[in-house]
Parts: sequence; C-alpha cells; structure tokens
Amino acid sequence: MSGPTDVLREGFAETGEFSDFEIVCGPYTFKVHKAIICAQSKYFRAPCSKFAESDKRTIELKAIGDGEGDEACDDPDAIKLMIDFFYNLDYVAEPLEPSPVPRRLAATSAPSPLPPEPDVVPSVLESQPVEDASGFYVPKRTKKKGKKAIQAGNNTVMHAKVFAAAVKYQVFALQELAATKFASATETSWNHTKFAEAARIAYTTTVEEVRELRDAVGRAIHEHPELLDKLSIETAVKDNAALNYELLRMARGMPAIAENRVIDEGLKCAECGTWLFYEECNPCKGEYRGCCGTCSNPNCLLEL
Amino acid sequence: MPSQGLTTDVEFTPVWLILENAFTEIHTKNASKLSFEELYRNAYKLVLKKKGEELYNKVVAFERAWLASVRSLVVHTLSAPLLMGDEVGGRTLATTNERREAGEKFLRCLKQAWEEHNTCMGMLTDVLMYMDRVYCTDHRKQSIFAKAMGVFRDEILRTEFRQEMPVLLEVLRRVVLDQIQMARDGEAVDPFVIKSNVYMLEALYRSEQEVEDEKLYLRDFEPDFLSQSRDFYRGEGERLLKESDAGTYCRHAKRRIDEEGDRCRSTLSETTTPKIQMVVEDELIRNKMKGLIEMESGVAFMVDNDKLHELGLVFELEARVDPRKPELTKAIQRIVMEMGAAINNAAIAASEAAPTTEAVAPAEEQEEGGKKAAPAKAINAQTLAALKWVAEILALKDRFDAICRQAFASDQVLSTTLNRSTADVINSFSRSSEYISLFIDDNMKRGIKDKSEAEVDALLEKSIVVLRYVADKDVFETYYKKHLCKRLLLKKSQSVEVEKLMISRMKVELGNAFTGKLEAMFKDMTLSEELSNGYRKHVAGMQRDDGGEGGGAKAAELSIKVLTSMTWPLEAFRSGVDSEGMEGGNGKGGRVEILLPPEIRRVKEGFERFYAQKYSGRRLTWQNNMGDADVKARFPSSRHAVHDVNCSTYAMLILLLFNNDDNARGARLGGKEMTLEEIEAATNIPMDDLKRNLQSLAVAPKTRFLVKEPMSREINAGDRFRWNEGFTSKFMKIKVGVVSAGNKVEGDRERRETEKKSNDSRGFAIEAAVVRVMKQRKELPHAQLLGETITQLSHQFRPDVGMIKKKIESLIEREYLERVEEAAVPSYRYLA
Repeated sequence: MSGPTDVLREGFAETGEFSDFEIVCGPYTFKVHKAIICAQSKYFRAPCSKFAESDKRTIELKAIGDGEGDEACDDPDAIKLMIDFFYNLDYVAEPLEPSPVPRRLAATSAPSPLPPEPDVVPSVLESQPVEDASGFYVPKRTKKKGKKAIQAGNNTVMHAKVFAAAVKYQVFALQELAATKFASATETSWNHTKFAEAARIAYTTTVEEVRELRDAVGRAIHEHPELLDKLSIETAVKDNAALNYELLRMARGMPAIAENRVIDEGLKCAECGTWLFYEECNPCKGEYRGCCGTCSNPNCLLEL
Repeated sequence: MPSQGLTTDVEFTPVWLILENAFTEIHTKNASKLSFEELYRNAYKLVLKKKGEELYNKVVAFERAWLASVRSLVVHTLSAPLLMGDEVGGRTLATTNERREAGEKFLRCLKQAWEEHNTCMGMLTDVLMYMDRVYCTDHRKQSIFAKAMGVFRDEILRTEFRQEMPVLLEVLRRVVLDQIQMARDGEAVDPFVIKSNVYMLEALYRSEQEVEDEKLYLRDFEPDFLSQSRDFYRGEGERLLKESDAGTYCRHAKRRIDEEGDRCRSTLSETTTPKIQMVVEDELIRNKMKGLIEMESGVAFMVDNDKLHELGLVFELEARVDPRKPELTKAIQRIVMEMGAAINNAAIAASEAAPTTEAVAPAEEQEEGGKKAAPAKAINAQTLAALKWVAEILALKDRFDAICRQAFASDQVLSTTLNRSTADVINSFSRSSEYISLFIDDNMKRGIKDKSEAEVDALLEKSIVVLRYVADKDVFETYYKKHLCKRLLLKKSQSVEVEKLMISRMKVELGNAFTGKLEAMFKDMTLSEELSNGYRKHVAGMQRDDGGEGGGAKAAELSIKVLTSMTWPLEAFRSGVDSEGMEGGNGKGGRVEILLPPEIRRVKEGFERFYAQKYSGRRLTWQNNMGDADVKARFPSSRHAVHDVNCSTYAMLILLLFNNDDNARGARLGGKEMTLEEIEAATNIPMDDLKRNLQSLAVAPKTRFLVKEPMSREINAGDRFRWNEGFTSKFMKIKVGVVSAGNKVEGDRERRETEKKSNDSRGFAIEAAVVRVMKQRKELPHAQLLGETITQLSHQFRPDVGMIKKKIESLIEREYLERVEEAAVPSYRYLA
C-alpha cells in the first residue's frame, strides 16, 4: 500500500529532506516544505513569503505555557498532529488513560448507578491492527458523506485541540476531519472523566459561530443527563455561560442557537435616535454607521 | 455587544497597541522585523474573545488616519498648473512641458500611494485573516481589504483638501485627460504611470456594494474621456476637411483609430477600446463621410486620377462604420452614372451629326468624280459611333471593375452597385441594343479578320458582357436578327464558325428561347445550299435528257436561298426611303408581280417545279429585291470585249430591257431609248427601287451603263434613258453598287417601325404570359397578376405596366378573363 501519502511521509516528512521551512512549537521542531504546508493552510503563506519569519525560515508557534499561556496559544501535541495531517491527510491521537472509578458524594448505600466505562468496545472494524492494547476502539461508523472509516479513539480532548488549531491555522480539511473524530469519540467516550475538559476546550478555543464541537458536546450532555451529576461536568458548565445558555435552550426543546435571532438592541441612530435594526438597514446592506441615513444630519454617511 | 461568559477576559487596548505599532511598521516598510506569528495570534485572540467588531473598527480608523496623511503628501505634489482648472486658464498659462511634468509628478505620487496601500493592506489581511473569516463572514461585513479600498477612495480621492478646490478624483481625471490630449498632440507622455492610475480607478467602486458597472473608472472617468474625445475629434475632423485633401484625411483617420486602440491598450483600459473607436469613427467617419466623399479631392477626384490606394482607404473607413457603405455606394453610383451619361450623350451627338454627313455624301460623290468611299464613310461614321459607344462602355466597366477589385476588396455591396449602375447606364441609352448588335456586326464583318482565336474569344466575351446588362433583350434580338440576316444573305460574315460561336454563347447567357430563331436562320442557310446544289444537278440532268431545249441557249444558273418567312427579318432590306412603298406591297396578296423576261422566268418556274416536287404544299414568295445577278455585257469602246457585271436582280432586269439581241446573251445592247415610266411598266419594279437602281446604272460614274436625259443626280418622272455606247472601264469585272447593302444606324422612321414591331411582339408576349399565369391560378388579384407577369417576362424585357393593363383589358374583352365583382381587391378570373 504505497499511495501518494506514503511517499510524502516516507520521502519528506520523516527525513526532512528538501525542507525549506521550520515550524517550532514547544519542544518540537518540524522540518517542513512550504509547498505542502501552504497548499493546506492559507495561514502559512504569509510567514513563508513576508515578515520576519520568511527571513528566518522559521516560525515559532507559541505553546501554552510559554509565558503568554492562554487559549490563543497552541498545544504542541495538537500542532504535531496538524503537521502529521499535512503529510498523511490523517492523524492518530494517543488514547487517554482510563478514568478513575467515579464515586458518589451523597453516600446512599446503593452502588453507582452510573454505567461502568466500557473497557473494551468489541471491535467491529475489519480486523485492523490494534496498535495499542490499552486503546479504545471506535466501531466503524458510516458517515453521512460515505467516507472511509475514521479511527477516532477516545481522546476527545486532543481532537478538540486539533480542531482548534485547524480553525486557527485555516486548515479546512483538518477542521472537518477533527470535528468528525471528536463526534465519534464523544459518542463512545462521553462517560470518560476527560470529557469535561474536552467540553471546556470546545467552548473556549473557537467562536460560537463555529458549531461542530459545541453541537457534539451539547448533544452528549443532553442525551446523557446523568453527566450533569458529575462534578467535572458541573464545574465546566458553570464556568461557561455559552454552554449554559445552549443547554438551557436544548432542555426547552429548542435548537442550541436561534436560527432567526431577534435583534432588540444596539442599532439606534446616533443623530435622531431612530431605531434601526440590523436587518432593516437597507441602503448599506448591514453596514451600520451610526446614522439612519434618513435624518437631516449633513454628516450622515449612509448613501440612499 | 455584551461579551460575558469567557473564561479568560482579555483587555483590548494592550493587544491593540501591539497590533497598531506593527501596522505602523508595515506602512513604513519595516514589515520584515515583525513576527507574523505574534501578530496573527494577537488578532486571533481578540476575535476569539469577541472583540472582532472593535478590532475591525480600530483597523478602519487606523487606515483612515494613515491615508489622511498620505493625502497631504499627494496634495503636495500638486503645482499651480494643475490646480488652476480650465476655467482659470491653467492650460494657457503654463507651457505644455510644465503641465506635462507637473501632471506626471502627481500621477506618480498617486500611483505610489495606491501601490503601497495595496501592499500594506495585503499584509494586514494576512494578519487579520481570522477576523476576515470568522467575524466579517458571520457579521456580513466587507472584508477588511475591500473596506480599506473604500477608505482609500474616500480619504484620498473624495475628500476635499482645500476649500473651493476640486477633490483629487476630479484633479486626477483632468490630469489624465490633459496627458492624453498631449499625447494626441504628439507629446511623449508616460503611458505606464497613467495606466497604473487607471488600474486604481478600475479597482475602486463607487459604493460598498462593488457592483461591476459602478467602478470609478467606468463612472467617473470613462464618460468624460469619451466626451472630451468626441469634442476633440469633431473639431479635428472639421479642420482636416477644410485644410487637407481626402487622401490625407483618410490616412489620418485610420491612424487616429489605430492610435486610440493602442492608447487603450497601453495607457487606459481595453474595455474602452470599442467605445473610443466608436467615438472616433462617429466623428471622423460616420459624420464626415459625406463631406469627405464630396470634397474637391474626394472620391470623384480619386476615380479620375486612379488613386486606387486612397479609394481603398475611403472604402476601409466606411466599411468600418457601416457594412452597407451607403455614402461610398452612392458616390460610386453617381460617378458611374455621370460618366455613363457622358458616353451616352457623346454617342447621341455622334448619331445626330451622322445624317447630315449622309445628306452631303451623294453630293460629294458627284463632285469628286463618284468615289464610292464617300457613302461608305458616311455609313461608317454611324457605325463608328456605335463602336465607340460599346468600347467606352466596356472601358468604363473595366475601369470600375478594376477599382472594385483593387480598392474595394471586391466588396459584395459595391460590386452589386456597380453592376446596377452599369445596367442603368446601358439601359438609359435608347440605342444600346442596336449599338451592341452593330458592334458585333462590325466585328463579324471586319473586326475578326486576322485575329487569333483568343482575341476573337475575348471580343465575343466583351459583347456578352455588355449584352448581359441589357434589359430589353427582345429589342436586341430584333436588331441582331436583322444584322445577322444581312450578313448571311450578303455573305459579309468573315467566319460562319465565329457566328455560330457567338450564338452558342448567347444561348448560354440568354437561353434557348432567345437563340432559337437565330439558329433557324443558320439552318435555312445550310438547307438552301443543299437545295441549290440539288437544283443544279437536276437542271444538268434535264439538259442532258432533252439537250438543246431553248435553242441550245444555256439556261441561266440559279443560286437560291429559301428562307422561312417568320424567321427572317426581310424588311431589313428595305431602306428608310422605300419603307412606306413596301408596306403596301408587303401583303402577299397585294404584291405586284415583277415582270421577268422569258429566259429568267423559265429558270424561276423551273425551280418552282423542282421545289414543289421536294416539298409539296409550300409556297415560295420571291424576294427579287434581295437578289443579285451576274451578267456579261459588251461595250464597243471598252478595251475588254466582255465585262462581267454583277448587279442586283432589278438592275439586271433594267439592263435586259436595253438588250438588242434576244438570242445572244451579253451581246451588244441597242440604242433604244426608254422613259422612266416605260421602264416601270416593262418591269413592274417598285418606283423607289427602280429609281435607286437607275441611279446606280445611270448616275454612278464607274457603272454608268445608261445615259440619262436630262443629266442630273435625281431620277425624275419623264427622264429618258438610253444605252451608253461609250462606256469604258479598265476592269473586266464590274460590281454595281447596291445602295442598301451597308449596315447603318436606323433612321428615325426606321426606328419607329422597329419600336412598333417590338411593341407588337411584346404585346403578344404579355398576353401569353397573362394567360399562362391565369390558367394556372384561376383567380388572382390585380397586383399579384402584374407581379407574376413581370417576373415571367423579365428575362426578355422590362414590361410596361400600362401595356400590361391594356392587354388585360383586351383579354377581358375577348372573354379570356373576367373581373371578380365580389372580391375585396380588384381581381380576375380565368375563363376556360
């Protein structure tokens, strides 16, 4: 099985031969090829041709914990998987450690009603080699687009991080792949204790308009209300207002975000005080400039 | 918008300060010091934390402020010549050179500002990529790049920089127009710097919607450019028409069109090419074509002086603006018609001059001692007019064909016009049919002598070329038949082969119906030949059988032409003088029998018997007036004992009257004297023919066999004739001139007759066509019947509508047709 991706991986990714650019992130240094990374990501075109990076032929992606540690920085492992994807068109996330046995604080005598975390999901994959004995396997899912089987594992956290990197670095194919993997992993591993962290990452590393991860998280909590009993989930939900709001809507049987949002604030003409709702701003097609354009203000910028 | 619910809130200002600093560096060309990763991450962070809108607005404000400073730089480059508008006389105050340099400085500065803005905004877009993708897309905002372009337009081009001054967009427009004007005046301007500014105008839109046809170039520049160009070329065209000749004008116009095309490519925008070319074409060609063609040095002059190249230019120019080329077509048509009319008038003048020559000729004849050349000359003068006319028409056609081929690229429209004009010229000349026939006649008789096959072929082709244009083919047929008839009967034709060749050409060109009768004439000739031979053998046989019949006298030999009466235009042999006399005698019944002497009568009767044996039921009508005879005559004082005299049949009859010795043919002629009236009574020859023949025999000096009393030119009643004993001639063979032998242009009376005849035959043709149409259609409205009739007849002649109407009336009277009373439009019904 020596397809183009194998050639890429064996020929370039592993040897770094003909590499003309470096990506540094945390402990890793990746020798990459401009032609390949720029083809996958619009982001890398700028540092490959302009700015200080193009002189140094290196870009250092700030890793979390490099001093400016916040959500805008990257997890070096996620970046590593992104680079893997550039050459393989796929990536494999390390499986998570099994959860500690959950325990009820309100000590009624009854044993845990929570279903035990499945040790092993019976493999329905067509006898694919199992790389790691401790790994969880996701049954082959027929995706709506009829794509080939996705090997997702249980590492929802890593998938969420890869997804965030894909959105940030504008790698659209990876964004789609990571979202799919995250959804698969969620379906099997929603009960894993790391799911709370995955949910947090999903709601903080992307804006609310990017729906893929958020929808998967919301669906899992909605479908498994017992998750709300978990302390980790409680903390995560309490901390994130957006998650809060979306769960509320779902509990009321509404879609997570409004399809037709009712705008009832903010667009008021600075001059005459006329309310001018976003959708109604006809002359400028949504370009609200602080004036309704119908008042007699000579400085009104709206063209009628 | 409120933004709670984030785990870590970000303070906007410190992050923005980092970005703002970086943007300043980018704008001051220090981008290579900046870390893209850091900038992107910071912008990303702001958007992630829902500060997208704030960031967006800050960037816009930053650009606005930056561009305001750029604007003042650009304004700085404006110098006095540019700021003073046309109104103030800026154009006139500064020298061209100053204005050009000032303009270029301004354009270069603006170009630089634009290009730098583009580069910087490219980098800002890189940094703000996440904002563009997430914030702008989801909030239906313009991309930051597009927004910044709008800011450039507003801040640089549209912001008033000084009171009472036009904004830079206006200045730019004026400067570019001024530069273009300088280029047109021959100054060398920098096309690239203008082109860069045009790129800018093409990249900017009037409003945020970025509608394709709202580009600044299309809305704020191109219309002014076009209208300025229109004014310029209108003026230039008018000036050139006054100052230069048409050839120069054409070359100039063509150069201008090409120039403007090139200018659009090099300096402006390709999209303008068709528009500006339209303007130049309008102003230099479409609106000026008429004036150009009618100039003193216009098309007429070019044709006169064979300026083919310039004609080609005129053609090319007009072909550009209108595939129908109306002005050139009109002009060419007019010129052809004028030249044709000149040829026609010359021919008419020549033919009107001719009769006087003819009248003088006989007088000369007497004075000069009866030279036969004189009347021949007179006749030739007529024929010459015809030859000249045909030659000139051919030359005219050749000339314009050459022009059409070489200058007009054999253009379809113009060839058609030429053909139509030539046809008009030919058909507007009333004698065209006759002259063409005369042309052929002359060539058949003389022209083709000593000519090679190819030359003869070319000659025939020429005839056909002219003939093709003749509308009234039936008239031509009449003349041709007449002329052919004379050629055949009088053996004037140089070559029967060529005659037949001509007929076959006509057949190809005009069809079987046209040549049918002509071919029949040839057939008659062949048959007559056989008949004569047959008769000769027959007579020889008879003489052997009962040898010595008629006292051993040898019977006169007979060579005969039997002509089918409908085929041959025998009236051709009656000259204008005697046509009236012949009209009476034309009818078979009314014909006066010519009195023949016995020896001749015997021959005639002998042939009639012979012919009746061969073809029973056919009647022969003898055309004595057309025959000729060989007689032997003896004159005592002449040095030849016997003269062979060839004369007309009538002349022979007259001479025989003076024969003394009935038994000895060709013996001495007696001295008896006869009056004109006695001769007429003895022969029954029509008086006019008689007079003419007597003129030949008694007046013409070379053949004066008879003496007339009193001696005068004219033959008058009571004149007496007697044998001229003293006749001498150094020739043994004497030919007595046949007055009517030569072909010539018809006299007026003759023409009227021909016309009448052709009108009659046209009448029949029209009636036949009407009946044919009605028989097929049964019922038809008047207009349609007219149309179909005209179509049917068009290959023969152009029918006169009045005549068709008359013929329809007459058909109704004779109950072939009836009017349909109930019809809405006048209609007819066919009555079987």
